[in-house]
Amino acid sequence: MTVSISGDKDLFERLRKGDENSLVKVYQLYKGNYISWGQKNFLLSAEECEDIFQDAIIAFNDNIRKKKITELNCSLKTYIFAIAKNLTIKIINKNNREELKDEHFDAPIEPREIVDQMIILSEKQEKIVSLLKFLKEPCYSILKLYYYKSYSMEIIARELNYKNEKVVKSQKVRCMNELKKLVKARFSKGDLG
Amino acid sequence: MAEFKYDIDQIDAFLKGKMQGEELNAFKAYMQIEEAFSKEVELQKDLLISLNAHFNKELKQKLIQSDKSGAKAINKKLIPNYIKFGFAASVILFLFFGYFFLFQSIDNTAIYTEFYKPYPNIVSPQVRGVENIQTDILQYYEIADYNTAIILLEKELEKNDAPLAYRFYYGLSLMEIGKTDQAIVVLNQVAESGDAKFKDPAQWYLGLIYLKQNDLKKAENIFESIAKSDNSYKKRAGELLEQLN
Repeated sequence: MTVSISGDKDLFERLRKGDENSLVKVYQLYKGNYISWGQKNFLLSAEECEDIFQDAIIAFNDNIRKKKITELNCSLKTYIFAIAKNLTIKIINKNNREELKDEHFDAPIEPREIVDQMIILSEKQEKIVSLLKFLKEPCYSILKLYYYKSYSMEIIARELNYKNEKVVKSQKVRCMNELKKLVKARFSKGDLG
Repeated sequence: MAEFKYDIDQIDAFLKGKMQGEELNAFKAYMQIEEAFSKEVELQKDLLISLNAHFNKELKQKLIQSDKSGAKAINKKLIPNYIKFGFAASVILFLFFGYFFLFQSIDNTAIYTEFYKPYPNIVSPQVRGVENIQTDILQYYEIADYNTAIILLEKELEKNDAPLAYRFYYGLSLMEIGKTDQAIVVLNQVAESGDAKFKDPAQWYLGLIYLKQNDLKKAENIFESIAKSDNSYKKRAGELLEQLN
């Protein structure tokens, strides 16, 4: 599959490996373009555009993490703008602000590919999120690398200096049990369904 | 987990959609007959969704933080010491004006603080060339070195074909260092232009300057005009007016 900009290929590889600094670089690279575009076409304020673009970058990262995209058939900018556009449409439809203009947009990406990003959390899930700050090391890092970055046990063992993947796997099970204990202790049986 | 037929990895596989065929059917059947297991799967699902949401929030904070730290890095790289001292002086000047206005308009300061946010530099390196804007000048605005930005922008604005963006950021820089009367003149020029990209925020910041000066009549007039128009700050102008009233 063709990659439009050669520099994007290296960047995309780093993003696939979960390099958050590269993601920040991508955000900084295209943020200004999106703000100008959002203001011009949708009469959004710069701050609203900034917020949408941050969410678009997160949705883009989600797609990489969940392997919904494994290679690029357009430039990174085009792909990310397609996500940002979909989020913009959602927000404008929600605010009922103005009729949408699509003519300034050149994204060869199916909306279905990228719109199901912003999951609305249930009350119970919101409560669990508020508890995660109490999670200590090494559990915080292990759960982030395993569940969020989708790293293999082997890579986690290397990253966190564990003897081998079996040790990490046992530690991960202990961490999840610890988290469940934390959640069960914090909430009543009724809250947990 | 020991009392169940399936372990946590198998539950994860089910939740990630990686289970199929007979294995999937057997898993679902077991959920039907074992209520406690079904609840365990539900809890694991909530945990995974919550972990995802938490780390996404963390990432969003990192993006927001990158705007600030990126500016600091540019500052370190580009700015000579004498300009840094100038910047420090501008901060002192700004604090002085801030202190003065605090006592002059104590009632409206909270509203101003709630609604005021420095306008970002929206002119990225990619479009600077297109809009005939010199690279780096707006970087000084971006890193909050408003004094240097003012010096450079004044030079550019002497030219007849100076882009509107220069005038806009010149007005904002004046506002940032407390030269509000000059900022009002410049932002009014931008607000009267036909370019919504800069006209809309220029009107909004004009209103905020009047609010900070405790000139409520002029501030209200501007915010009412924004609230009744298609200005991109329409919603926030309405919210601000509600608080003023």
